[in-house]
Amino acid sequence: MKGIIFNLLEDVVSDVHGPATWDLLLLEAGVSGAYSSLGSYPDEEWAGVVKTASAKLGMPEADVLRWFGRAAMPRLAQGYPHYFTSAPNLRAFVLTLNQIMHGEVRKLYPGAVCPYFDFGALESGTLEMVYRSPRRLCALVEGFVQGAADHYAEQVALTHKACMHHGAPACVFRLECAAPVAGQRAGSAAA
Amino acid sequence: MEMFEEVARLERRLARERDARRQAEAIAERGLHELYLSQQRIELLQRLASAAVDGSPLAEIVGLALSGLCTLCGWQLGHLFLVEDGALRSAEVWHGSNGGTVERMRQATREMDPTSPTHLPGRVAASAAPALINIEEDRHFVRTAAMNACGLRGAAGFPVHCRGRVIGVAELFSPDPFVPDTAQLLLVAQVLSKVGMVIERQKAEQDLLTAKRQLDAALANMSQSLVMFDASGRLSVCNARFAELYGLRADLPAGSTLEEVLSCLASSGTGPEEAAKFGALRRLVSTAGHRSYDVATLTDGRVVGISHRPMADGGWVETHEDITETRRVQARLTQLAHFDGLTGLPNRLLFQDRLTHALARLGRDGGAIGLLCLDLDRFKEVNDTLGHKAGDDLLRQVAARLSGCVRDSDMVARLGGDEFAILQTGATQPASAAELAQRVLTELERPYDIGSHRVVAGGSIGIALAPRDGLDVDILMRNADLAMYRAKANGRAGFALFEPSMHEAMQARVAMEADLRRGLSREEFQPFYQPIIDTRTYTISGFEALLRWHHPERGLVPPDDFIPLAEEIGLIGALGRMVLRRACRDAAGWPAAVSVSVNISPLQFRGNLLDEVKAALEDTGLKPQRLELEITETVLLANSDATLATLREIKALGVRIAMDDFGTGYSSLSYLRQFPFDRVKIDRSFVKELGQRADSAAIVRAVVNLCHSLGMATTAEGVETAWQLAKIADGSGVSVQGYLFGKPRPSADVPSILAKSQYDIDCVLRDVQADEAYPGGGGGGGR
Repeated sequence: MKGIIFNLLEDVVSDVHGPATWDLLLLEAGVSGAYSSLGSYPDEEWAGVVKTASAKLGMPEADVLRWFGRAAMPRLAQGYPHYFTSAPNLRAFVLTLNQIMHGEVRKLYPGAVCPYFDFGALESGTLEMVYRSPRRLCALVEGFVQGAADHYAEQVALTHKACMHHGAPACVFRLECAAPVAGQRAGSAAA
Repeated sequence: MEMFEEVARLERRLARERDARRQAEAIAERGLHELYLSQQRIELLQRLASAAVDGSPLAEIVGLALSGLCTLCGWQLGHLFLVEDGALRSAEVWHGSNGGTVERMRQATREMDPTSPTHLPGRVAASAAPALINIEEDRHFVRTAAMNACGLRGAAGFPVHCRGRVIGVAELFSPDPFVPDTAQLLLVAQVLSKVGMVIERQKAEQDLLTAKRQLDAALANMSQSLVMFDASGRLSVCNARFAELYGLRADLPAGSTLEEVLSCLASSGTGPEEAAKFGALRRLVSTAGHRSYDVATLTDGRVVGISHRPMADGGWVETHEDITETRRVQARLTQLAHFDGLTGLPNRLLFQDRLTHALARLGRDGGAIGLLCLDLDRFKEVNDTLGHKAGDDLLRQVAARLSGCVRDSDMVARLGGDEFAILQTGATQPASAAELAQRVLTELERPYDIGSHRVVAGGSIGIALAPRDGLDVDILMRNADLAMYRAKANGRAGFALFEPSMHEAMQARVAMEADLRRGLSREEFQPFYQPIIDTRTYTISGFEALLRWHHPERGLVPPDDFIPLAEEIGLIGALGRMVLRRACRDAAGWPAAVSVSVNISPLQFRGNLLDEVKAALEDTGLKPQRLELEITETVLLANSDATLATLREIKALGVRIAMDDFGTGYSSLSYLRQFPFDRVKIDRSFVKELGQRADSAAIVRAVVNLCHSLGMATTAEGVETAWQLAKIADGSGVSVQGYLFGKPRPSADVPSILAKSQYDIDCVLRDVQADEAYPGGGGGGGR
């Protein structure tokens, strides 16, 4: 797992629960906690941190990941604004995920193991997204999509039609994107 | 408090540390980003280079370049134009991740003229510099609608250069307006430079391929065999026809040495007979830098013409051509041009050529030349009586006999028709020529077997000698001809040596000819009239018109001196017409009982004699019954049906026909049966010999009796004495003509002759009676 994800989680946790909470999490998870955005760290460390957070915050791990994904989006938009400006809406943005992952992430982090998304267009405004990854972080994907919807001030109905956690070979999402709500884009980006 | 302060201090320090870490990470990220981009760019260029080296198709390399640029620069669509004949044409290579976008833009691009400088590609090609366009700001951009539909806002054109020339234009399209970026522009330039090299290389390869294909086609289709060697004498090019010519295997390996090729030729059994020598010659000629043409005979007998040309690089090129047939045809043509097809003897052309050379040699080396011209004496008769095939057979036999008479160094030729010639060199003259002529004549006089016929046909030979009789071919030939005419005139089957007097005689003849023509136009000719006496009544029954020539210098020229010449030069027709017309005109003025006789030359039958007679009678008003035409047996000798038909038609007009000079020549009685003559004129020789030969009187009497019984009248010519008259006119009813009754006189004298004719005739008759006992009786009954 890339160090940047740990850094993002640190930022989100520290912002909401204070820097001490992050230190406690690291302590309880029994990990070193020295993460650089440039480094790669064992996936077990990530799993340990998430598990500890789940217990500490009293939330299921999936909810922790969803919360983290959604909350991390504004920070990504701040640090890498061109990924968002080059796509006019949520649907377009989602369709560029592979490009971002494989073009941009690998630019910075040679050797990064990135997930790959397959897309299928259904009826107008509806997109089918297939996610495959040995990490099975489908909840994080849900959080990221929700966060992106917040960024574009759009309503998105996300249905998790099949899940690897339930024995499916891949997770299949159905995204129903609705038109953005006027005047809410700036507000939600700031939130 | 101290503890709080300490915590606060540590927290600040922690925040600083975190900021420092973040800044360091950001710097590292940027470095990594740059490094990554550089690597990607290097990788793209390497892939292009390797594709170019692998010889990948142009479309593949262009596709790689466009997709690489789009990926590395975040563009969406790429397309390439190529410059062809000064115009831009789509290379039909597009790159784009979205098929719909590609199709839409392809369509929009097709609809514009890319070369026009108002459009992006044309502008780039014209300026040879990149152009970046923000379609929202460029009003001239024509593909805005298509780009809007595809979500594209930036368009850029980049020139593809090669060796300073623009050979193409790449177009790239982006979702965002283009922002100049030095690194990107550099990358585009590097990528397109590679593409330019590939295009140029592939074009060069294509050109080379085309040139090679054309060369191959030319080599394969040329009629000659071609072989090319380089400076080291190794085979570089050779077409299939070369292998075919020499029976070699078609794939003669390039790089074979000249010696190897020659040994192939030798072992194929068809090469030049002296292959090795030939090879040495090739090298020699090539080194000397000369063009050459050789003719080689192959071991199988074919003849090959070899044209050899050195090349600038020290090698040489040869074309080989089988000229066996050409040679054969040439030889045949030479044969045809120089030899007589019938006898196989040299013809006039070759003979004159040889004579020219002999004369030239004579001028240098001295000596003498004998030129013998030979004319067969009876060739025309053989041809006419036995046919052309017999004539040809005779000519062949004569040719063979002539060839048998001469030495190898002499030349026998057929000059044409029945004319032959012999060129005698290196002999003592004139003895040798005379000796040869005699030998030839003796040989020719032996009879010839022509089919089932035995034919005798001697020759007449004229000899001219060089240098004595001339050193010019034409003069010498003419002199030999003149000598031959003399030989002929001397009697057949003889020879004559040229003498200058022959030439003079000929010149005289030429002068006479000119005089004749002039005389005719100046009316120097006129008929004289000699009376014909009917011995039954002793009155003038008519006159014979006899042609006289009043030559302005020579005076009166007798007919025997000019009639043969006039016949020969074709003037007899005009002379005959003139005499006929004048005689009719004159006779029309005479008493009705007096007729006129006109001599007709055999040659006049070749024209339209019937019409001439009709016209003369009609124009002068003379009754046909008063005109008598005299012909000799020569007319009947030709014996053509046309001649007899003409005679019959003339006779049908009422004109009488007389046989002249009867008793000379063949005097075959069969002539008298061929045509119903009105009169037969007995030749003067019989009258002349009446006193000398006893049989003459009997012959005259027999002819008169014969004619009488055939219903033909008779006239005896040349009666000069009373005695002769007494002998002939013994009651036989014959007419007479001769000096006894008057010489031929001009037309103006005729009235006076007629007027005193009775007196004159009576005087003659008195002489006859005085001379010897006048037979008396019926002959004088009419007085």
